[in-house]
Amino acid sequence: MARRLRLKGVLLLLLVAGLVYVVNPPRDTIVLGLDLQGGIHLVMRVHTEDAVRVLTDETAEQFAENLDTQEIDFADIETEGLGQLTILNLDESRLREVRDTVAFSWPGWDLRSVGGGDWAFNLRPSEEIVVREQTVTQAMETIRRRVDELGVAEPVITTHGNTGDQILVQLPGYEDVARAKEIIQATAQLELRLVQAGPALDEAALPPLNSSLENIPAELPTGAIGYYQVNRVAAITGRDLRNARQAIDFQTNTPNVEFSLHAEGASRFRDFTGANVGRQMAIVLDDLVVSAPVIQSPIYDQGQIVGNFTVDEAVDLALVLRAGALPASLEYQEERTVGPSLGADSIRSGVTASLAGLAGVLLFIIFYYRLSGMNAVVALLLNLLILVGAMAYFAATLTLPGIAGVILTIGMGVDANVLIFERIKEEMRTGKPPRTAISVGFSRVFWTIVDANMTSLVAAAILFQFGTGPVQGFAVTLSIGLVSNVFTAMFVSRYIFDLVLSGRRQVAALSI
Amino acid sequence: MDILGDTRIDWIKYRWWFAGISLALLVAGVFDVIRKDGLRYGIDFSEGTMVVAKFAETPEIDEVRAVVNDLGYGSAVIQSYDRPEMNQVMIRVEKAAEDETAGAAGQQPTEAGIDETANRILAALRGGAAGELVSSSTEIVGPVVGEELRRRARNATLMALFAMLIYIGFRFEPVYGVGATVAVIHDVLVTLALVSLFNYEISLNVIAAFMTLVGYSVNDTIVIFDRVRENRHIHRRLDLGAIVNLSINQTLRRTVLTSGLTLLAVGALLTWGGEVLRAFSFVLVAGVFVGTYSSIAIASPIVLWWRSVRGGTAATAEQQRPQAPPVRA
Repeated sequence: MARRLRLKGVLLLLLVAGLVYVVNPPRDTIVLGLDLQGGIHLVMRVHTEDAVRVLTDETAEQFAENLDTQEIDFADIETEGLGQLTILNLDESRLREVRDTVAFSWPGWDLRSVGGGDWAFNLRPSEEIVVREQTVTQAMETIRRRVDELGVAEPVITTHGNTGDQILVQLPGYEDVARAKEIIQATAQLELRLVQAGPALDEAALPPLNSSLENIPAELPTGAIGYYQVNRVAAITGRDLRNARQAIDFQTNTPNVEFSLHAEGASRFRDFTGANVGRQMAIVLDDLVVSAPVIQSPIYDQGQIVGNFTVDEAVDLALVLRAGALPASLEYQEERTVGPSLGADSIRSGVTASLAGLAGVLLFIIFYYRLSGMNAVVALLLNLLILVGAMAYFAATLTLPGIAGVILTIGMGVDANVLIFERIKEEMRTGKPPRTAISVGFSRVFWTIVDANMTSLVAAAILFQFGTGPVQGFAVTLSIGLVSNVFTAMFVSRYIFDLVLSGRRQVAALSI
Repeated sequence: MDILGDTRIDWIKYRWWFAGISLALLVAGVFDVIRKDGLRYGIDFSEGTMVVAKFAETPEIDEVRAVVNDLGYGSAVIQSYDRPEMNQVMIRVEKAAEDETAGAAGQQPTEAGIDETANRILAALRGGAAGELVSSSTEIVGPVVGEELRRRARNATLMALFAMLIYIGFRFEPVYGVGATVAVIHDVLVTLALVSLFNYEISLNVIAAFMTLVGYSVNDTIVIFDRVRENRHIHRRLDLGAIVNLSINQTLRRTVLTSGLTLLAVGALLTWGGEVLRAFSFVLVAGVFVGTYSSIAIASPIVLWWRSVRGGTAATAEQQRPQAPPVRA
């Protein structure tokens, strides 16, 4: 008996030591939610249709090329909508080859006749879903890289809601909302394209377009908006970049962005610039020409983007270029910022009030239950320590709703102890000696406490599964609290009774 | 030390009184909600913009109002936030008013970013007409988000309730699950009525408080049910009504102590917790009261009533009397 008590005591001490180790120092181990520490909370929608549109255009272009190289006749390929193409007047005598091509290179697409030699070439709905999902995943990765570049500690970047195209970004402790939003939202689609004509103030002044050319608006050095006619296919895109950084142009003393290219991009760039010395190259950023320098000589793996930038703009542009382009545009749907001092005020009042409440409860328990009350106080404090330790261990975030979970835990922890003590008193009133009363009391309320806590645990599990952020935070603290509740009330409280009474042979009275 | 002697109150006798009190509160709540055109939802759940601005010195609300009026948001709600010495003002603009103002400025509502209103207000306040701005927090909620949040919170709560019903039905008997669930629904509705009567807004944090209420109420109910279960084995000859009374009385000391202590904790939060926690702690305080009351006044009578309707052996002549109309409270 005494040996088992000692063993339990050692285990408990180990537990307490472990918890203190995990929690220490609390400032670093407890992650506070945005509502408590201040920061930015953004919810945005990814326009996944952008990615589907790009895929549709690319497919139209590449499929036409493919038919040309196989010398299969067709009149034209028309875009009907997202993921919907029509091939006009296809040479049906070579249908087998076309089908083989589709099966080999475009397995996600369906080819079917619509009559009159025309064929519908459609993206399968299941494949479209995959494309959209990938777009959201890519967007999240890009945003994560950008946020990392911003240097925010412990950002949260996850999908949000159940439409599948929403992303939640939380930047604790970060204050510059405008800059954060700008950087996250920048598409940062960089392309270097050969200029065929321009600039002209009016699109009509440019030569007629054909399928390999495109007119792109430009901000001219005079400040006016003009147009360049450029090749549809870009020589270099943002994907070829190895690095980008803000620099100062020594000739004009203006901020610019220097970039360097991967080996593969560099060799393409050298060929491209070598073949076009003396011609203009348009630097296109998000479908706007920012500058169109003349290629003086073949360029290898370095280049610079000259535009009308301020230093801050150049720094941010370099940042988003390094982090990569977004696969689709974003739209903000929800925005919350908590100023750090407002967060600090609310946490101070909340913590003061919680501590005052807790102190009141503990004092009353000692006053009412005397020595046994001390027992309950130890159990409750250990309960709180376990709760905080588990939150630190799982890196769970403490929010206001989380504090609600803590309060409910305290309430139920108090209840468990009150239940036990009242039951012990009841048993003693029927004339049982203290030791028996304690033993009977504990065993009688065991299932009450388990049932009460299990019911809430079941509910907490459901809330965690189906709730959103704050609701989940509540569910997490509550679940941890409920489990530790049963443990401290049934095991720890019992242990202290046993420990105190173990030294005495005859126990005549109990301080309860 | 004991707070109460052995009580022998016939709780079941008063069940129609209890039903009357609950009904009166619910009716008052319904009328209040209708009178106020529905429950008030916080910015979490309704489209629009909320700005909390903290000034270096206590701002004059009228000066802030003048600044905001000049921007064209005449219908904005402007009030001081938290204790006066915190120097905080809350400005809230509904989505409809934002669109109107944007329309007047010649913009399409969709053209402006969602942060348009907040940016304009903060820029104007930084101008210093209402005193030096120290810090600010904004909340902007777009159309989809509010509706989505509301739906998910509601569904999660309903499913959690259902899961509890199953668990209690499994651990006790189905009828106890029904009793506990009806009591919880009663608690949520009565507390909603109180929230409306006391003019609090429903925010995400308040939803968390409601969930806490649900957990607390079920805990309280289970303690009594558990005692009923135990007493039915011990006192096999007593009818269910007497057993329920006995069980409530036996656990009454515990009920008073636990509720009192929990009330102490949440009462502290309501008193000193500050403005952010106000509505949240109000729901917790109300919830402890209502949750404790319903275990005795609603959950237990429902178990009894169900038994008598189903012709259970425990039903007494008293319970089989034709149902009296609810007593007017």
